[in-house]
Amino acid sequence: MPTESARGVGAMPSASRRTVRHWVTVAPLLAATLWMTFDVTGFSALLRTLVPDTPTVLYETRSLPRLMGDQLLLVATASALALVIGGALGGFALTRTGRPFRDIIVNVGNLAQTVPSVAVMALAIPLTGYGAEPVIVALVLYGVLPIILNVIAGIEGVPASAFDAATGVGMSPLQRLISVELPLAWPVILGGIKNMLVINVSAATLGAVVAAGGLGMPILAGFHRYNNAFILEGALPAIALALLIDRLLTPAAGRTRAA
Amino acid sequence: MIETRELTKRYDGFTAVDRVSLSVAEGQFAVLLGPSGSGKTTLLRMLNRMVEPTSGTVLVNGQDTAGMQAEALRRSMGYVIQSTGLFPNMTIRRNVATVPRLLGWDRRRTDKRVDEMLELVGLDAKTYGPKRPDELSGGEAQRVGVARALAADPPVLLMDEPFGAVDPITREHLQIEMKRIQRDLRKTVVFVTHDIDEAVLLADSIALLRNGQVQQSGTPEDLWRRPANDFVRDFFGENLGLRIMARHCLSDVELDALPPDDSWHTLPAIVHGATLKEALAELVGTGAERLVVTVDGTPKGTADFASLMRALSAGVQCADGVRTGRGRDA
Ligand SMILES: Nc1ncnc2c1ncn2[C@@H]1O[C@H](COP(=O)(O)OP(=O)(O)OP(=O)(O)O)[C@@H](O)[C@H]1O
Ligand SMILES: [Mg+2]
Repeated sequence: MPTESARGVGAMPSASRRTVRHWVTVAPLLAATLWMTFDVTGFSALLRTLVPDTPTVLYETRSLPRLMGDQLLLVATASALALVIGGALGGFALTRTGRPFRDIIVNVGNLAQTVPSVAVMALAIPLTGYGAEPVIVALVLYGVLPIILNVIAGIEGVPASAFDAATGVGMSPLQRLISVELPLAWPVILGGIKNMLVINVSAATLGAVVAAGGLGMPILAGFHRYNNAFILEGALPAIALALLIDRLLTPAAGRTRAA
Repeated sequence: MIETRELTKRYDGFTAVDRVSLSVAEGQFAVLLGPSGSGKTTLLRMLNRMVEPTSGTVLVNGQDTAGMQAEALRRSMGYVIQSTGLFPNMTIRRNVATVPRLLGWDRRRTDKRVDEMLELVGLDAKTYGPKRPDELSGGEAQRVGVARALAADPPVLLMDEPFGAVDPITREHLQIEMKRIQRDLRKTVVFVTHDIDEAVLLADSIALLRNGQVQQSGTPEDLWRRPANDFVRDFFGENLGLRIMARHCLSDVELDALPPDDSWHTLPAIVHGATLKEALAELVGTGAERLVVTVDGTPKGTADFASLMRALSAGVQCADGVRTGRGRDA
């Protein structure tokens, strides 16, 4: 039997080249985020140029590394919870028992996103008190939907032929999930994680309202004291962080492939 | 051996497979043939319990499959699905290694086996092993599908239109190759197709389905000579005789001795690996009454129309390895 000639040799950028291209976009954002957080003199010089005639450009109550730390802790805690809850709900919606609840779960997730986050925090305060908890409740509520949607879309998007073949060669449902369904759904699920993180990084700035700390603190103080430098001090690192996460979790150009 | 008894599948009142009782002997190449929607895939998938029967039983070596663990049953039957179904997230090597890995083979044994399987289906393991399924042509992907199904050396192969998506030439190569593999490895094959040529070329026995019911089952020769009803006759059409002739080779014909004089020098020559259909075409095309049959370029004897017909009745198919697919002597 003659072998057909190999097609597409060299047509695809090698994995290492794609990795390089990926880090070329990520590295500057990472550098910018770190610089704003840790280089007090440099960053305050930038703020002074942007907002001249301001007596103080840096918020005095809490240093930027601590504010960034608060922010990351809020986002990480809420995202981890949202990932577990969203993954469980999405996974449940895909099981035989969960299928009837699929639409309900998606609709409730949608509904949760329409409630303003400030309202969620306000409603949560009687239960949780002030601090990080009400923010985490709000962020989880927001983050759960993209996870549910993308877990469902990702798994449902697995080609029927691959699913069929996995069953046909004798994989158990768990083996099929781990070695075929999750790897194939991974790019879509990763997209959901990215959406959640980006939403959460910006939403977490609202935490300052309920005394949860974070990059929202200087922004809030800036409003009260008519100090635009404070607003930028909180906003610029938050923007850089959101962009960094977005780029970090966006695979470099070329075909996306689950590893 | 695989046997079905009154096997039935209903989907809310619609009967996809209707009381099918068939048996496939060990080492047999059985073809399920029928128009689209006749229940071929459903029947095939009930054999490895991808579809649970509504009623009836499937026996494998006399054992009711309903009592077996479905995953274990499936691992003992290679399965090639209609659209190859290679796992896009895995390399070709990993795809072929799937069942050995599920069975817990050690690495060395698996690696060796993957090399052998890729070679068996005519793909170079070094070149193709590290590739991904989307870097393969349709024909290559279907070969990998066959290699994967064979990897753990299952006694039974289930194949659902495995060569559907390739051009006629590649398809014929794959068919001839499949037949060779099945004979060499003595696999029991249940093969689904709606292509009559493919069915007649490959089958030891054909079950012709319509609306979930078996219209007739038997050798292609049986179905040709003694069609059970008009549907069977019409389905195969007028060319069935010629298609059957393509199953048999001149190597199976009892040749007449070469005449002692030199008169046979003027007769057209043909290789003994040619099919009877090709021999017939040669007779009709040249207007000669006899052909000289050669083996490796040496004339071995002559054959006329009557001797071709006798070979057809004998029911033998081309002895191993001689089918050339192309008849003329070079
Ligand atoms: N899961 C299902 N639910 C309802 N009806 C089904 C289901 N699977 C198959 N059928 C019906 O059963 C009949 C037989 O289907 P099957 O797939 O076995 O046909 P087939 O002979 O393989 O056809 P093809 O040659 O087109 O692949 C069809 O009419 C189909 O619509
Ligand atoms: Mg089918």
